Amino acid sequence: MKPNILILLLVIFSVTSYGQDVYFTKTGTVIFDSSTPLETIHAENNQVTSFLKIADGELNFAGLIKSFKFKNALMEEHFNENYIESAKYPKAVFKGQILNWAAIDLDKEEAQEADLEGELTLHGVSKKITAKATLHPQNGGIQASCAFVVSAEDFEIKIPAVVRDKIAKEVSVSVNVNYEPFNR
Amino acid sequence: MTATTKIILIILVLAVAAGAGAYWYAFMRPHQNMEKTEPHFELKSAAFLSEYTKDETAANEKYLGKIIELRGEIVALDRGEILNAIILEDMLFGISAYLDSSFVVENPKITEQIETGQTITIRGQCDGMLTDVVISRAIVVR
Repeated sequence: MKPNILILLLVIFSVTSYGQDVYFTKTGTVIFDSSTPLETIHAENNQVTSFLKIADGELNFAGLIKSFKFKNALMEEHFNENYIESAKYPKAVFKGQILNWAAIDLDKEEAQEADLEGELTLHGVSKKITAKATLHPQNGGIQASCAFVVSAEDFEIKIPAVVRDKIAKEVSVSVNVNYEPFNR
Repeated sequence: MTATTKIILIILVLAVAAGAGAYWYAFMRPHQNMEKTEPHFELKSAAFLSEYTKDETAANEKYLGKIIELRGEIVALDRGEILNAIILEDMLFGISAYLDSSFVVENPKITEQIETGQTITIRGQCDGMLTDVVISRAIVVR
C-alpha cells in the first residue's frame, strides 16, 4: 500500500476553487518521544505536509520517515534501518476528520477544541487514532496542535530484547502546524 | 616500578583509550559532515526531479538516504530568522532543500547573498518525496 499524496493533492486542488477552500502547510512539525529513564529518544520532523479542507474539516498529513532527525547519529540510523524500515516504508500518512467541524468558528481568533479521528499509516500498518486537537485561527491562517500516544507494537515495529528496557513501549507524538490559505 | 609493571600499565591505558574511542564512535559520533562528504550523485535539479515525478519508487530505490548534489535555479526561499530552505524548480512540486542550521549560522556571508533567480549547487541527504522532493541537512556548495 502506497498512498500517493501528490495525486490526492492534485485531485483536491482541481475540484476546489483557489483561495480559501484549503489550508495548507509543508513545514508542519511532528515530534515523537519514546524516552525511558535509561535513554532519551526524541526525534523531530519539521517538513510535514498537511492540508485541511474548509468544506468538511477533512485533514491529511504526510511526513517522510527520513526527515525525522535525532541528535544521535547512531540512533537515527537504527531507527531508519532496524525499526521503522524507512527504505521499505518511506512515508507516514494520516487521513482523518474533525468530528465537531460544524462547531468550529474560523472567524473567531481564539483556541478551539477539536475532536480528531482518523487513520495513521506507518510501517505498512494502518491504525485508527482519536485525539483532542486545538485549532486557533489567527492572522488569516490556523495554528493547530495535537498530541496522542501510539504503541510500537500496534505498527508491528519490533524492538530487540537487548534494548527493550531503553525504549518506551508507548510513544508520545505531538503535532504542530501553522496552516495558511492555499494560493497557487 | 618494574619493566613488566610499566608494560602492563601502558597496555591498560591503551586498552581504555581504545575502548573509549570505540564507544564514542559507536554511540556518540556526530552526524555526517556534509561539507566533507563526497556526494553519491551529482546532477541537474530538473533531471533529478523528473526521475521522481516519473517513477517515485524507482527514484527512492536509487536516491533515498543518499547524499545528492544538485544544481538548479532558485524559485523561492524560506527565510525565517535564518535561511531555512532553498526551493528549486517549483514552489510546491519541486525540490525543497532544508539547510543545515549550523551551516547557515557559520556561513552568514554565503547564505545572506542567496536570492531567488540565482543558479546554485546544494548538497544534502535525499529524504524522499511528498508534494516535493525533500533534501535535508543541506549545505550550499557554490
